[in-house]
Amino acid sequence: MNTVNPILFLVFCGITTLALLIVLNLLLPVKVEQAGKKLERQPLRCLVIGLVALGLSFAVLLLLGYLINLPIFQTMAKDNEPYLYALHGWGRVILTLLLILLGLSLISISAIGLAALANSLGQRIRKADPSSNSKLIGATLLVLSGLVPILGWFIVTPVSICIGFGSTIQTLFQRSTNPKVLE
Amino acid sequence: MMTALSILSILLGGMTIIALLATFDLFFLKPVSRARQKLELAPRKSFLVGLINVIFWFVILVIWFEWTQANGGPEMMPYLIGTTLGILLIIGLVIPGIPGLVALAGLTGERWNASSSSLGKDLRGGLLLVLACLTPYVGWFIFTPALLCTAIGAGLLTFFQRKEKTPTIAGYA
Repeated sequence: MNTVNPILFLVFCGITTLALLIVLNLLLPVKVEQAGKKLERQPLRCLVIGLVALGLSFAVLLLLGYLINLPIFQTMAKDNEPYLYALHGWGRVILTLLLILLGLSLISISAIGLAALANSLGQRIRKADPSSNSKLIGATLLVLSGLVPILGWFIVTPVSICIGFGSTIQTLFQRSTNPKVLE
Repeated sequence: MMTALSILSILLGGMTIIALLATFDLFFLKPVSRARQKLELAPRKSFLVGLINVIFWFVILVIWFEWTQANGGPEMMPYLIGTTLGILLIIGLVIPGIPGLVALAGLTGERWNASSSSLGKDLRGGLLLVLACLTPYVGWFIFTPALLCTAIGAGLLTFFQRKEKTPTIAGYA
């Protein structure tokens, strides 16, 4: 049987990512809109926050990975201490679950941020051409520019992920701005 | 390494799911419209209800699996219990999940293009959802489970909701 051509696989990934960005825009309109507003107001701040937050998250992921493979309990358990060995097993399970949860939440926050970026791109195009389908065009532009060899892979995609991550993080942890009632 | 045939079969499977969603929308109008109402009014509640139910069934299945591993052999009892659990699982999760999924596809299609026909909305929404679910990693491990939980939750809320009494005017009731 023929193996899949990498270009064909890239096209498949591109189409599915495009669909994912559009669906996130359609199913989570409020979150995406809020993140998009942050993104348009302070893009540089979003980039910096995204870079710092992603860096910290990867540091935590690495730390968890290191802790999972820590050999100290195993060596202690060798000396007839089965309860330590059991503790080590449970610790590994909990740390692995934490690692998976953290990784999945990072990916989902980045996906929402990318959807916000695609949305804001589409809205800018819509200003010029009101009849166009802004969500489709924005997502297509973002995905295609991310697929450009070298420049897209190493600059456009990481920068857009960082900006998106930063804007979503700000949206998730923003303070409520309810006006105070004067008595 | 994935083969070209496997990608083709995945795409064909996706197309059949889209057709299934459109067919269910044509057959079961009432449950689908109720599930859609739930999805629009309480998406977070639907997700949480679905998640709790999926975790509950998953725990039961794990316990059953462990039990059959421990009490394996030619006895019929573990298999009988397993079959019963499987049937209950279908009743408890899959049947409520289908109207929820159809409703989600319809909702996505409507938000995508509100002016198209009902079938067009279902087909467009279904196509978008299936493609999004096929996205490597994000779609497989995050979007698909979240989507299924939301659909199951909306379906369960639809099936097990209390019927609200219509307010009556005193003297006329």
